Amino acid sequence: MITENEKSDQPLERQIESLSEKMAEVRQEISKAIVGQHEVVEGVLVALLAGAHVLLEGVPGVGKTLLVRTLAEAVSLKYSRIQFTPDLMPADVIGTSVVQENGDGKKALDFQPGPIFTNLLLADEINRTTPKTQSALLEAMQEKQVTVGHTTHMLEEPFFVMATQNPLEMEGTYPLPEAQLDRFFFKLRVPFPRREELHDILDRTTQGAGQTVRHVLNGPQILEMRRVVRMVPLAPHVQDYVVKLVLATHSGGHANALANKYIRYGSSPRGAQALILGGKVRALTQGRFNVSTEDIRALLLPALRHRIILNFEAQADGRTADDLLEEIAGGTNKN
Amino acid sequence: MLPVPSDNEGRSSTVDHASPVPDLLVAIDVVRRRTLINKFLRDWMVWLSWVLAGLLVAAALIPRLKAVLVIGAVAVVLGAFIAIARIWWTKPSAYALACKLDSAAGLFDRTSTALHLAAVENPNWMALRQRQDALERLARVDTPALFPVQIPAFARRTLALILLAAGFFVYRVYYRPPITALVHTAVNSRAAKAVLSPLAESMKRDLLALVSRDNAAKQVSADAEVVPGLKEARDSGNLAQPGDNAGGVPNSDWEPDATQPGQPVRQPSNLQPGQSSPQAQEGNKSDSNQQEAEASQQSQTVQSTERGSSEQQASNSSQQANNEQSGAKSVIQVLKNLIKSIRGQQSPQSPPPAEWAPGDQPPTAQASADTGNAHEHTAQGDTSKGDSDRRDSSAISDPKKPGGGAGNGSTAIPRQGVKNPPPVPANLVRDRVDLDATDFRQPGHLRASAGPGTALLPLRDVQPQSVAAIKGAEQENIPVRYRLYVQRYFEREDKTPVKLSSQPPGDPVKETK
Repeated sequence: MITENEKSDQPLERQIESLSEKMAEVRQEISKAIVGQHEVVEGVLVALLAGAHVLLEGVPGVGKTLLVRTLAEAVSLKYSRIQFTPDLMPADVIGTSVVQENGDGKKALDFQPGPIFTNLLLADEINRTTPKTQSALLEAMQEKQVTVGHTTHMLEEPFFVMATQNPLEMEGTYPLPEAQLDRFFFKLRVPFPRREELHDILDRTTQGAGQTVRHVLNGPQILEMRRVVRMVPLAPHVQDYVVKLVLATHSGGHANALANKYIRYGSSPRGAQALILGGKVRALTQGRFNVSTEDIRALLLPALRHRIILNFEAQADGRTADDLLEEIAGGTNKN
Repeated sequence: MLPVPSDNEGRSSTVDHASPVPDLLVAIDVVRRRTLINKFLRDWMVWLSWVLAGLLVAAALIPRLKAVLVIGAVAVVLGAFIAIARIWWTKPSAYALACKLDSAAGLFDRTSTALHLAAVENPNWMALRQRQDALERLARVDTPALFPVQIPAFARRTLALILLAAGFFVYRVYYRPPITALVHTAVNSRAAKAVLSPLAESMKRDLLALVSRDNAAKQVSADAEVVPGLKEARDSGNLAQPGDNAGGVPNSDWEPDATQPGQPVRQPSNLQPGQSSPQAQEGNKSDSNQQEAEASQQSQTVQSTERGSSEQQASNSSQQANNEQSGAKSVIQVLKNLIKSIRGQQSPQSPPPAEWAPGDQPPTAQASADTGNAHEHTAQGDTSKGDSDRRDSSAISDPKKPGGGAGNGSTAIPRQGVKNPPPVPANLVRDRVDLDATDFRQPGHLRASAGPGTALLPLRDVQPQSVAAIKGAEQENIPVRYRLYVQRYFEREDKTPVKLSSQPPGDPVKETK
């Protein structure tokens, strides 16, 4: 039944089978350092295999930075951390050209790459720096390259940015512009741990030494998984469901009453891409070979919550993006 | 030929790719059959319910039971065919059924995706692996159990309708349609009669009045040929007109024939309401002394009647302009007053005729009625008042003539063509005082001039009373000029007539001699 053309894809089956195993191992390793936060970990892994970036939002002390560092250790990738401050300059992120003296005594401009030249970048408290510095990440996140002067420097794959921000402390912060937000695949909210999880956190961090996280995945494997993920088929009605959801967030003909009332601007096409790519990853990690509407529905909030802009009336009525997206999804037919 | 989705709405296009997915199609066929059966049952039961309801109504109204049953059976069968055709026309595609199966079995869109990928040429390993996965999962699904043949939720209602219809048809085999019987009973019921009887009585009364009026007119015309002199009386207009009081129903639409619709009513220009025309005065002058004596006896009664009539007349004048119906009521009231007054007059002179029909008026009623309604009978020009008087005399002169009595309201004689008034009867009742002077209608200030040899008389401006007094104060309504004339007549020794100069009011002139 398998043709010659399909015989060349035999390793693919093994890769798919190993993908589920590898992802389970990564979860296991992360769970050594992070207690609970299963949805956040799952979202981070989905974004990692989809080749996109994640914005983590949570109050201080809930384990955002620890999660990123643990993931970097588990996947065996180069890891860099940038603590964004108001006086941080773009050159501090992407690097700069410095005058260096050669061995023969001549001086020349030499590019010194910044911390962005890594596989896994942690942009901690990204909203504390100025928009000028924030915009230094735009080209790197989308095109996976950095331009300094007249020279463009390619970033090493896989390139994965994980940014964090504090939703409470807004004084002295610079909210991310919409263009910057749209480049994040997911926006994951890191909740405060529950009672049992808090007990577990206290036990782990106050007694004895911490557990060591081992490497279970490397960069090439991640890239191969990204290629496999894109081969997962998608039924037309599932894609239509995605389109209907995205259009429903825009005010106008396709929107429902909520969107017309509370949403100033809806999701971009990147939102639909995130939904489908994330659905494919989720389907593979759950042992399926097709995307389901259930996958789309599960990833709706992290993929679109930061891509819709609410108007003043929504803020005055205390409506959040998550509320509106839930109601929009409830009013959208799956078939 | 496998239908696969060609657009986002799930509509299918046909692609020749059925062989790789026979098992998939088998499962989908099961879903299709069950879905169509359920839809047919639902649609047909809705149709059946409406047909049953229509049959119940038809059986309750239409006496022919067999026709109702045949039509109902045809409607049920026709509805079944229509439902089948409609379901077949709107049958869901295989892709839609696959989506339905996915949702029902929790297959996470495996079946629909596999069906979609079946249309792809040269599928890759992932597509084949997905199809294999879908078939493996589908093999574990009990499709018939997921899509059972379901009786619609309203089947009990339909069943109740069926039982009701069956019982009702059994009833109809032995009895009439209940609605028809109910309507028949309701029409004959006491309540319906109570509601309809006043209307029927009113219509019956109007019809009888019309018939009696017609009969009376025929009787009068027949009598005119037999009784001599009745023709003259009829020509003079002294006889009652048709509809005066026929059958007790006033005819407010009746008018003298001389007055055409829309033609203004002519009235003597030199007459005030309540005054007699010169022609009538001449007729009154020719009365005998005996008649004057009788007239003087009856004058008070007539005058009192006239007073009431003049009051009625004033009110009728204003009401007639506004409402013709109120005028008719006034006429009825005037007639009643006249009947009362004339009955009092008639009793010592002549006994009431025994042949009067119920609702007929005494013989003198017409005269009084004419007097009280002089404003309505002035269509004959300046002879209106004279007509009234002549009718009085003719009515009193021969009250026992059959059909010729002046009070017989059923006599219908046209009044046109009155050229020569008949001779004035002997017992004429004079209802006006004759005056020689004719300038008494001048209102306003009057100038009285003293005769020769008299002292200077002061001139006064005296305003005549515009409103007639009632209850014995009618002498106040006598014009001042006439009063002065009488006063001066009795003050003079030679008793020669006093000449009054006519000056425009408001311009008193002092004369001295």
